[in-house]
Amino acid sequence: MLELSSVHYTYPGRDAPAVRDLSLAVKEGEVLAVIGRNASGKTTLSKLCAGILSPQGGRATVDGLDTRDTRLGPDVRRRVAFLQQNPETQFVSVTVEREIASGPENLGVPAADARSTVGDMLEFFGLVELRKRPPGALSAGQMQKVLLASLLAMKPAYLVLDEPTSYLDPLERDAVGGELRRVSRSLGTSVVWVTQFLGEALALPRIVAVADGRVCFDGAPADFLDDGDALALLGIDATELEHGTGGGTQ
Amino acid sequence: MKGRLKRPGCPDGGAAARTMGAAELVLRGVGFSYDRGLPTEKAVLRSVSLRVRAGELVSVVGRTGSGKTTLGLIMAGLVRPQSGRVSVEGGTSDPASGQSFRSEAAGRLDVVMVFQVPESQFFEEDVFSEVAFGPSRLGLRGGELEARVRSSLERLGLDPARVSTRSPVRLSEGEKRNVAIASALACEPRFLILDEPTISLDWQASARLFSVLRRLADSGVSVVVLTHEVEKAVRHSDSAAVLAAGTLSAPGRLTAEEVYESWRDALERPVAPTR
Repeated sequence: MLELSSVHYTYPGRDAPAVRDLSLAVKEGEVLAVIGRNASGKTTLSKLCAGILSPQGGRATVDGLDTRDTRLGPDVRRRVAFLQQNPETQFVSVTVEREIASGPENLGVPAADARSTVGDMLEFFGLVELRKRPPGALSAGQMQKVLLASLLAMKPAYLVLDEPTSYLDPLERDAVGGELRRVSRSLGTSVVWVTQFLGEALALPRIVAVADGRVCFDGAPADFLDDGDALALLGIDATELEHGTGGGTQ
Repeated sequence: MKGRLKRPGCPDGGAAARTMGAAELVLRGVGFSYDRGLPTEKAVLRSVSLRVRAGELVSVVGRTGSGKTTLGLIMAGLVRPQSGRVSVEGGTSDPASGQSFRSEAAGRLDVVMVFQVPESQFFEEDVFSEVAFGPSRLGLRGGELEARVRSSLERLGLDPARVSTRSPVRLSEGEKRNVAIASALACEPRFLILDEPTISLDWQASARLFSVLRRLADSGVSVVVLTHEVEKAVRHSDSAAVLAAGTLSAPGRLTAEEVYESWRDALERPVAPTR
């Protein structure tokens, strides 16, 4: 279980908290969407889930491990993988295949197993032809695929994705979104999926909507669409909803 | 040191070129390949032509990796085409020559590009300085400069009193995007090129941005949006052109499904080399 219990977080130099009295529980194997407007607290929530930020109030735990306990940092990070919005800030290797291999190697996975995993991921995300290219020289959408492949190669228990498809075109977004759901099902990986695209959120079994640092809705997609207050807080005009290939209202 | 920097998106070096009247940005037969001449050569643009008239809001819709960013860099004069020509007609700016796009009019630039990743164009320590950099290089000072920065931020829905002293890299992703666009607006360009401007913007922020772009176009600014967000592009633009398999369709009124159909067709057509 990944759990935030009444957490607060205020960035240095800011008066208003980014999240306040926010609680969220993510069970093993559960996949949920986190949606909200710009600056609503979505990214802060995702960083608290991943143990990148420590709550200033309340408690954040991953399988019972308190993320504020720095001695537990390596154990937390083995369980949780985090994808940031901006792909360019996350590369550590000179080629795509080295990038994907770096995670398993750092976790001590035997070389043969790591190679096999890298091959699977290259194939899975359509990156075979790009495997010798520097990741930083790829298009933004291709970079995002490399990062998703790198995270899944580590086989984390929890995957925290901060807008993982925002740099992808609608056709890729649909494809990558579908594959992510399939992978999470087959590997049993829990996914906290922050998104601006309502279409993506509606395809997941649970939606958590955030407004002004608080959870304003937590439930099934069908109930979300019936919750006029939550839709209003997110600035979504129900009459303008799009359900086309783009899969979103962004 | 900073005074000699050539800021990405706000070309400022070299001799000032002059434009007059209702200029048009024209591309004729533009081609470009990465790793040209190497075994890894990858052609991305092949004989691309486009004419952007004053006051038009044109979208170029293409898939990830289709060459939209390369096309934008060429239009902005930041990358030279390997074949063909790009020029500002009705004026004397010549992007292909590497000359700057400083306008004859004081305090304006001819062509400004907003990059896809906001951080790649930030280097000032606070938002005010970031937005002020372009117009200050164009000679604005004091109250005039402050008013230009303030109005640029407000046009994007940013409260100057709240964000001016903050570091641009510490803003939310959506706020970063808006600061990057405000920095471009502060240069009051004749041609504004935006690379995937709606990434990280929520629904209302996207609608507000297109409303701002529409007003800019109505005031005579030519706006080119490079995007993969098909629905928004066809809804808000005067015309849309599809970039696929290295070629650009003629701009026109398209439906989203027509764009997706073009993209799917292009999957069957690899980009031919440019030479």
